[in-house]
Amino acid sequence: MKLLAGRWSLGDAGVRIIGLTLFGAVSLPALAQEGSSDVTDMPIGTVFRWLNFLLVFGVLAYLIVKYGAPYFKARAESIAKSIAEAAQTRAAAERELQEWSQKLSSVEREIEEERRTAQRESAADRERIRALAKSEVEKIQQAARAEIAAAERAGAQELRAIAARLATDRAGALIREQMSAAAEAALFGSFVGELERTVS
Amino acid sequence: MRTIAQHYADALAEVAISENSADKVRRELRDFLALLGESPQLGLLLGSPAVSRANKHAVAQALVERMGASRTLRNFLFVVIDQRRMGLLPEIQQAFEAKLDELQGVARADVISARDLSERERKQLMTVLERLSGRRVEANYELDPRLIAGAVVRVGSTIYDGSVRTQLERLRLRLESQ
Repeated sequence: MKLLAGRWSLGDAGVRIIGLTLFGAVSLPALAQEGSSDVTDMPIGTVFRWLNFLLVFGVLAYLIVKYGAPYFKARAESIAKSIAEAAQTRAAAERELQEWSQKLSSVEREIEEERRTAQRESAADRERIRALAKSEVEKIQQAARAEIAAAERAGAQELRAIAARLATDRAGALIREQMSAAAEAALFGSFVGELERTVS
Repeated sequence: MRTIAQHYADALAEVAISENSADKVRRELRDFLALLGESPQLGLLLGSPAVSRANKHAVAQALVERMGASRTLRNFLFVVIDQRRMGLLPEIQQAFEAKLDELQGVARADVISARDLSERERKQLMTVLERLSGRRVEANYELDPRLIAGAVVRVGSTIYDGSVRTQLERLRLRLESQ
């Protein structure tokens, strides 16, 4: 068995089949003799039965110890490893979940902060636009008032200019109409007199 | 800064005064320029580099003889032609008259009046202007009815305005500014 187990690599099923075959080979002759009461009833028969039992038990124990223990050990290690991996995976998943939860809560906080910031900025913008519009309205009103005042001044100046021109044109026409040779001579004499006064 | 025309004018004025023919040369130069004004082609011919100097001299000689002008003017024209300064002749004439006025102690006056001035008024005005300028005044009289009445006199760069039009204009400006 040891050779078989060492030279050939039997699977678990093969080992079981070989164990059962040996068990049958040892136990079947004994069972075949159960019909004859002469031997079995004797004490030696009982001894052989026990020996047979011990032999089968030993072989079974040997096989179990030889192949079952590593199997179960490897199985246990594999299960333990799987459990450890699962635990690690779970821990990692939990960490990731926690991180994401934190991120999510952080995102929520950021969203909330952004929302509040946007509200503040929106309010500030509204206020600024309102103030700007008010300022612009005041400027426009001021400009309009200045323009109206300038237009009034220009209109008044234009009126004065028109009145002055009409008055002087009319005065010139009247002077032409009423200017006599004597008056013109007097005017010229007055001009020459002014020049004389300039000399002196 | 003296211009080229002033140099020619000064030279002609000195010669004319030294020959005691300043007024004659003044008149002849005026007539010659009037002739050039009536016939621009004549001026182009005398100023053209394509025409020989001898031909230009011959033309100038013929013109001077026809005008009965003096040798002083003829010689001056020859110099101007030879120096190719015919284009400057109007400017030379103005500078020449100014120089003669300066040398003769004459002040030119432009008198613009709304009506013809009587002899007595002109004499009265000349007397005052000569006292003002300190020179003998030769006046050029013009009529401008737009003055309404009175007169405007310009002596050199000085203007004496005694017209009714100007007084009305001053009145208008004063009314506008009030």
